[in-house]
Amino acid sequence: MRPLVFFLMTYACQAWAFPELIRFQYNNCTACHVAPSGGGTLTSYGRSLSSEVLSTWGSEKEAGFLHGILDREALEKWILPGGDIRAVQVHREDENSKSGRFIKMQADVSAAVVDDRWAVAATVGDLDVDTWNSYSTSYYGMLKPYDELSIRAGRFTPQYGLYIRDHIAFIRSFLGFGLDANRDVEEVQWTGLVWTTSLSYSKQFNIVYPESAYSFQSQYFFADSYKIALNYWKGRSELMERDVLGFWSLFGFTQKVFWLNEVDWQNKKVGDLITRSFVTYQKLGYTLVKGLDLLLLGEFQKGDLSDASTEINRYGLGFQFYPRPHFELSGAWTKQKTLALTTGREADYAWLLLHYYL
Amino acid sequence: MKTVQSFAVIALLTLGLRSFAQDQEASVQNGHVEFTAVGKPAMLKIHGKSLGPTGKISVSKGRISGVLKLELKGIATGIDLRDEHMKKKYLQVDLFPVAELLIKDMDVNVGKFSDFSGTLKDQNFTGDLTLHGVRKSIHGVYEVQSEGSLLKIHATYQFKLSDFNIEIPSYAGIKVADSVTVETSFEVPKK
Repeated sequence: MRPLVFFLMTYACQAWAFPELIRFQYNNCTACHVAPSGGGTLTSYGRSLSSEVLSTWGSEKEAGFLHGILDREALEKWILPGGDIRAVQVHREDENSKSGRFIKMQADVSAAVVDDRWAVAATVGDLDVDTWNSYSTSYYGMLKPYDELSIRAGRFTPQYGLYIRDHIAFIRSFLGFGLDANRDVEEVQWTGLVWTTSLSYSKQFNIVYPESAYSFQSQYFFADSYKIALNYWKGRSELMERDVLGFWSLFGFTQKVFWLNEVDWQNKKVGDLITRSFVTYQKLGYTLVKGLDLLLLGEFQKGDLSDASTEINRYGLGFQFYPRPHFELSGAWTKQKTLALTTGREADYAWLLLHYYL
Repeated sequence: MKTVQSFAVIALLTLGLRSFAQDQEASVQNGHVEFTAVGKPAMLKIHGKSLGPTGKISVSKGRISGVLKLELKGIATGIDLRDEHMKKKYLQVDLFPVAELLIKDMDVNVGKFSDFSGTLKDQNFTGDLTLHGVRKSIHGVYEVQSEGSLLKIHATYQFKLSDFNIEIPSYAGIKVADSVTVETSFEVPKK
């Protein structure tokens, strides 16, 4: 049962970004999201895009808050409201056992007030409906002295790596950017047409030995639908020190074919013990029809490069389906090989996610 | 005196004929146009493409000139709704279906296309752009490259939407910057 619990715990997520939109030439997250790092509250443009390029059916009006029943133009002039409800059915089976569980993952509301030169945004909610916690709660204030420059401070997820919604992914969960990714952050970002670079300082909260970290990310956009990026993270707490170096890329080969890739190396020092780790993530997608993507997923984690038994391989097939604005259905069936386990070393994991946003 | 005048006339005519014999006109082929605009404040790169232009250019006295035309309805940016807004609301292609570039003085230093060899880079040219019913002078940079039986010409220039009475496109909080960069490339047969 323990692997399933781990799976469930690491699955939950509050961020919601669509880096695969690179294939439509969307080089920066700020077209669709208020936050420069993506995820969270949608801009008016982002809502329109959800019907125009993301959904199989739907209209521009329908993409508005509460399906456009309110006067969208009047509302969005002064506030950008939103919210998410998310639930997942997960399944695990190996040669000895089968188990499954339905989880109410997230229910929150969000709002942002945006001006040309500043913005404030907040999300209040719950990531686990059974026990209240503050992981979902985020907020920030942002100044934009220039269109390209943003200075942001508050509680949110600091930038490192692909900002994907698959928080079960090793690149998120193993590196500590999964469920509890929100931190108290100060961030400066330059958002350009070709280069986008951010620097941030962050600190964990609500834990006994919080990690403080400096992080750097620089992205390079080229050939209309390709992006490569470099990350560095230097973190420290009373218990450990770590350096993480990563590289990721988004390739929109065509409007139908995309590839997300990330590799990271971590050096972690606890006392005198240094552990070097490696994680990677691959997602190859093909848009069968507008709104329906088929996915090929692959991941690898080696918790200790000097110990072969710390390897975990995961690969499988998945899909994501956006029938209309506000609705998403996605799922995957993956095979996972965990060398450290004595039983259930080879297991199938499957999940089906339901997501509705206001 | 008459003899002198006749000689002068003949000389001028001969020179003129010689000059005319050096002129060459050709239809452009394999044309391709791209434009880049920036959507702010998101720093969104909007990249449009179209086949074309069509038209004829000529070389005379070492300079290329001519008129190139582009059917604006053929422009595509990769997103249908954006294309629809761009063509209907802003470019008004029903009223102004064609953009026209009058090239005035691309200096190639040859009398015929067939005499050109090698590559010319970073050369300046001037022209008149007619768009949205407005004609304005533009300045640009061009490059000419001889490749087999073809001359390949690539030109880049910028213009301001406001100069052509085009409303600045704005949609759902994204506003397009006034300045637009255009790149056009085409080929000319040497003979």
